[in-house]
Amino acid sequence: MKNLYLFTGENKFEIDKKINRMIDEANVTDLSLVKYDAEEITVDEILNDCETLPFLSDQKIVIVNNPLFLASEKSKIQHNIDRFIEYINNPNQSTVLIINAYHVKLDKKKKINKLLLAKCESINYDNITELEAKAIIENRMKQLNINIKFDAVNELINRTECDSLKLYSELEKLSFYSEDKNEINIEDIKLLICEPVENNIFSLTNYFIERKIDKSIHVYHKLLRNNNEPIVFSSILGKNFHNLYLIKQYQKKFFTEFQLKNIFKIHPYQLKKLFQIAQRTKEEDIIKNIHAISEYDINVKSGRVDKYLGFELLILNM
Amino acid sequence: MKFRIQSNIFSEGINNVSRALSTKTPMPILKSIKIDLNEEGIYLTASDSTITIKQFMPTFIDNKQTIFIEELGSAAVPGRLLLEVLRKANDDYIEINMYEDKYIKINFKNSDFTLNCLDVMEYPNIDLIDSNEPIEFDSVKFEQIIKQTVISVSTHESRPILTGVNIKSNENKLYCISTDSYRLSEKIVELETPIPNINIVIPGKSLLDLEKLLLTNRGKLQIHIASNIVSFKIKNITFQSRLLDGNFPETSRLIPKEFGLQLVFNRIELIDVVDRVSLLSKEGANNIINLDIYDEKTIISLDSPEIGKVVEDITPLSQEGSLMRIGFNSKYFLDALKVLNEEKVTIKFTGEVRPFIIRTNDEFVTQLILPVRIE
Repeated sequence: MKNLYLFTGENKFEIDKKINRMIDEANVTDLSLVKYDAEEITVDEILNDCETLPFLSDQKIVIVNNPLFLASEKSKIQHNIDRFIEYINNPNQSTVLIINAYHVKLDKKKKINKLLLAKCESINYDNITELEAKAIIENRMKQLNINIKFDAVNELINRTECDSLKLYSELEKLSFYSEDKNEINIEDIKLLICEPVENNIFSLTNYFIERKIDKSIHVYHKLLRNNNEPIVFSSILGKNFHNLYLIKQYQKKFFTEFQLKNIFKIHPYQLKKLFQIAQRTKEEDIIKNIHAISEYDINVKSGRVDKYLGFELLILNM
Repeated sequence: MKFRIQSNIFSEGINNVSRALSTKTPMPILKSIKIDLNEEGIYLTASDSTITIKQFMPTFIDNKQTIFIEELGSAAVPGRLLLEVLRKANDDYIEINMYEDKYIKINFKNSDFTLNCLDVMEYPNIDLIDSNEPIEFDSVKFEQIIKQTVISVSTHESRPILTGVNIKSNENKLYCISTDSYRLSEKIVELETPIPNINIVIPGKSLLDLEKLLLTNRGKLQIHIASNIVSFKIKNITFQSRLLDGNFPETSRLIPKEFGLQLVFNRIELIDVVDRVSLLSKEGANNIINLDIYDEKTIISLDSPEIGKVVEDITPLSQEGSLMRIGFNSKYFLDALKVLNEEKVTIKFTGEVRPFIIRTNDEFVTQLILPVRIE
């Protein structure tokens, strides 16, 4: 085992699986396994622990979760990065330090990250693609001897958003549900698996652009019931329209979806949908929507219009 | 319920049980102290669902009547308020009177307090356990055990079992061990009579509360143990605590048996030096001190890049073995030194990256610290 590991990527399921396997392999006792949240504990304290000898075993594993100080955004607490750099250059041989940068975007310009990438065994797990998700579902269903309809597979992928952690746990649920059945159809999926909120907001954008007013209102009310604030929708809508506008510009220059993947740091599935929408929407419409949303934002924040009424008006005026 | 009682006796009792009062609790009734009055005297109960303290105050002490009962009954009185009121009471006797089942009146001299109470029927029924074969201790001795082991109890909730002190028996020896995986405290007590096999883990927080209680109440202490509860009885007070669930790690092989270097210091002198040196340590950050052990003297130093440096030397009373350089957390070292009683302490090292122990002439106490790696 190496002394330094760095995990990156969006695939929590695979990262956790790998870390757990490493813990099993190292055969350390509970006493020699420490987990820290870098948003709560300073690097100094973590390193003090790394420098201390293992207790009752030959090796000690220190896991650092949530290392936001490696990202470009500001961390809540002050970390002693210099000491961290020093440690990375000269790690303690009896400690295995695992930095779990799941969902943390490393700022490649930072000195520390260059060093980490050079010195650590770095392992990256990206989110699964739609194709992989399909394969996972089909495999699992084959094991269970269950027939799953094509549209059900798509709906399942839609609702789990290509998130492998969600996908695996939902598959587990489906396997219990279908103990005495041999077929799963789209109705079962709709019954068992809840729609993710973001997806709902996403479909709101979708309906919005397509001017399906009745459906937009329907989704909007559904979202309200989940205790969401309309101001949140407007900001997400705004973000989506902004992306849509950018994608539109790229499309004019004949960029493919694949090329855009590297430019936009958004979920590939989301990008795919936005890409499709951008293809069939006029640029003026996108700009008009952006203006309407910003108008709404100003009006609500300056108290000129009620946030609930304003949002409905926004939908109706599309 | 109505009675008159000597105020110093009552406030002492309330003060004793108030240690178990909850501050944060999902059950508001646990912020109250339960008072039960019957012919023999008053029972006071307070609990925070982990620990429970119950005290009995008899009507007659040495044939002298201290409680004058007018009407029997029970009440659940807001604990903190009652304590504050009694602290400020300026009369020898106070009178407590409950009416309409929800108000309690406290009268002394010219004062008249009326406190709103919760329904006493809501107070949970807490069973106090009793075993046939209690372990008996002198309370001062047990206070020492707590003091010398509770320092190493872990404060991290991630490993709950380490937040307690492990007490286990082997023939007529009682082993009390605590560790937070960076240091370890062990105290062995020889008992006069063999006791049945026990292996329990008592929460460190409970022991700290018990320690405070024992400071003001000395005498013979009885320990009763049930499957998940331990109960301490001293005089008329019962202190009961929940036990921690789980297996305490087997730590015996951690304590080294052979040592390459032994140093004897004057304890107070060493505490002073380490205390001064650790002035430059930063809480939670760099509090690693280095020990450079040479033939005639030992140099204790701390280098904190952002703050500064400090170096101080101390001459050991005696020294035996090869020279060494070692670094460790000054806080752990100070904690350990402070709870030892003797004039001289012996520090025994096996190697730079091996745990070392601190001992006194009392060979039943061992404080162990894991060093950190230094360049």
